[in-house]
Amino acid sequence: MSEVEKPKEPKVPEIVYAEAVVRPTKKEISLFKIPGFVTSKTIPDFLSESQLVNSAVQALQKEGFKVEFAGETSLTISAPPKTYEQVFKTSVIAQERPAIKEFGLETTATFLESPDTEMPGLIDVSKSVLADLLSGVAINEPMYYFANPFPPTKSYWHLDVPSDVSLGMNADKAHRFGFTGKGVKVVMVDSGWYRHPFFVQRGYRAHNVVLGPATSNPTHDEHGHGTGESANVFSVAPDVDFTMVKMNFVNSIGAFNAAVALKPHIISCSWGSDKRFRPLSAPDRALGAAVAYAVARGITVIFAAGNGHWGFPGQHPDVISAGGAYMHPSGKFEATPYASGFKSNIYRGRNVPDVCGLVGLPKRAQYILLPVEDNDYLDRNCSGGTHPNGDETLSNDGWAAFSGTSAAAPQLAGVCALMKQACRRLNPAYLKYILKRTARDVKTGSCHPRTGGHSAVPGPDLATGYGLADAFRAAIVARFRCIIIRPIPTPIPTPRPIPVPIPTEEEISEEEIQAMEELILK
Amino acid sequence: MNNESSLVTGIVFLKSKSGKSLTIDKDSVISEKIEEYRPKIETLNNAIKILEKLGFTVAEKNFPLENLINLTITGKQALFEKVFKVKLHFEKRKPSFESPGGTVFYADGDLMIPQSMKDIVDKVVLGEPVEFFG
Repeated sequence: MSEVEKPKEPKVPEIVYAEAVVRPTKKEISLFKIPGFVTSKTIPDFLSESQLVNSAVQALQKEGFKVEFAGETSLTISAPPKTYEQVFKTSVIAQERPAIKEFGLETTATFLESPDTEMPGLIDVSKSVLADLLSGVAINEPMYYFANPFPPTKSYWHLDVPSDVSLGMNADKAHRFGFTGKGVKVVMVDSGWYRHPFFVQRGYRAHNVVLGPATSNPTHDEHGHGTGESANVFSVAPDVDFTMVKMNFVNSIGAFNAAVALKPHIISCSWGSDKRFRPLSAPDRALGAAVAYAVARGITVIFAAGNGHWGFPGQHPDVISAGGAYMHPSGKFEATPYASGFKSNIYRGRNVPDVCGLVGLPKRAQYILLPVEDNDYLDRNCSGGTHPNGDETLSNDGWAAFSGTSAAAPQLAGVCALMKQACRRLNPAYLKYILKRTARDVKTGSCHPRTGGHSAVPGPDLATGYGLADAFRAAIVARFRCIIIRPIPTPIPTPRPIPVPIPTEEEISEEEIQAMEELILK
Repeated sequence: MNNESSLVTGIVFLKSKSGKSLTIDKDSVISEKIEEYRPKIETLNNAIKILEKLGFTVAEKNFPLENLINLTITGKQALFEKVFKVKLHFEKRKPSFESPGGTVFYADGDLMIPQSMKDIVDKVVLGEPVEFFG
């Protein structure tokens, strides 16, 4: 049922955003004057030579515009309204017009116009010094999310965020005890982050995206991976202070450095390269060094182990390496052949993973339904089909199912955030120790055949490490350790797994309870 | 062939206080040993100045220098080729499940360190692509 809001008095904003369209080089035509529409077949006629684009950028900057982004078809510019008025010899006026906003809300929105043109939103450039360079300037119009904060209903077995991921990681119980990640800063380095209604309507705390080097468009996630996987962090630790660093896929080190510069408690990374043997390449060494230095400075760094990859830096000794376990509707879990598990050939004695998060099964691991920017790459390419070969969602509904070890890493980041809230002084190595000690042993299934197809067995193994992380047990033990033990032991001892359930033959005596109370109060 | 619009990424390894080199040492560097590979703050400052003067954008320019082990630079293909005396080739990659896509540059040899940086820079290499494990 829609509601109607009262119209408000329109006001021109302090900064106006617009698209400046550079004149095409092939023909003397304008995007704004052609009859009909531009299609993928005709768009080459409207593209400009890079020299002309560069000249337009410089000229706009000289006139006082900020060039936010230089795209293939237009330049995104911003400036106070006076700048537009002076340069283009026009006026910018605000009009309140009917609009339908999120959730079908019928109301009004403010649109900006130049009175000199008939086409809505168009500024005529012919009277300006930029007339030789530009076809026109189109003032941006307000846009509203089409995506729904609720995931689509699907009949196949899958996990929804936040509820099912929280339940599967045993985080709900931690939340009941007040461990929600509050006050803990988590940074994710990934493809970007879109402010999807899933995050907005649940009140999750996320800062503006920080652009890593050679990236642009901070408010968009063209691929979808970062937006989707971030929902795993919030599912486990709903009150974290979250920031995404948008990464260029050939400049992961620059993006990682940007993450470290934000001084987070935790950095989560769901990517890497495939490195089975030495030698590490120079860029790998640079990334490995950046990771080592972050950990040396007290930042907990989590990397996905890989999906058949010999994941690097997922095998770096300083990271928490996130593997995969699959949970059935019965609640039983097993190793999944989608996730990597191996003994590193690069770092002696390093087994991967340390512990697991929830990961799907081959062939496409379409297991967790995650929010993405509508119509982005993953929305389009995961959609349709019949599960498990397609997630059966629409290609533009802002939801897609994908869950390799990319999902496990942010889930573990969430668990670390709960532990960090429980005890601030726990260092990265100790958080890893508690994760291992409190994980739920995975005893069946096997990991990816490309990394050895190792079987999960009772106790720690190459398929799943110490098992599926348990957010509640980890947070409680972190809190307990904070109270009763002052210094963090060095070196960190080998974790002795706490079995599930803990075997007790008889009730705990009053004497034992009093001894524990005295220990806590010591 | 020249790619004028895409940016090339370079990773700059700086000379460390100890003399140890991340690019030469066979040891895999971990947190207990990383301090030996840190450059001096002065080295970082000088490197940023020289690289900017040469025309590169240094991503870490405004970051706290005490957090840095290396630097990353971006610039056009022509700039990299001119400064580092190397020929670059590129490959355009489409988006996939594992990658957002973009342009990957390759060099047909080692990047030569200019004389102005030889005292403070150990090595410069091009960035390598990573994959999403999604």
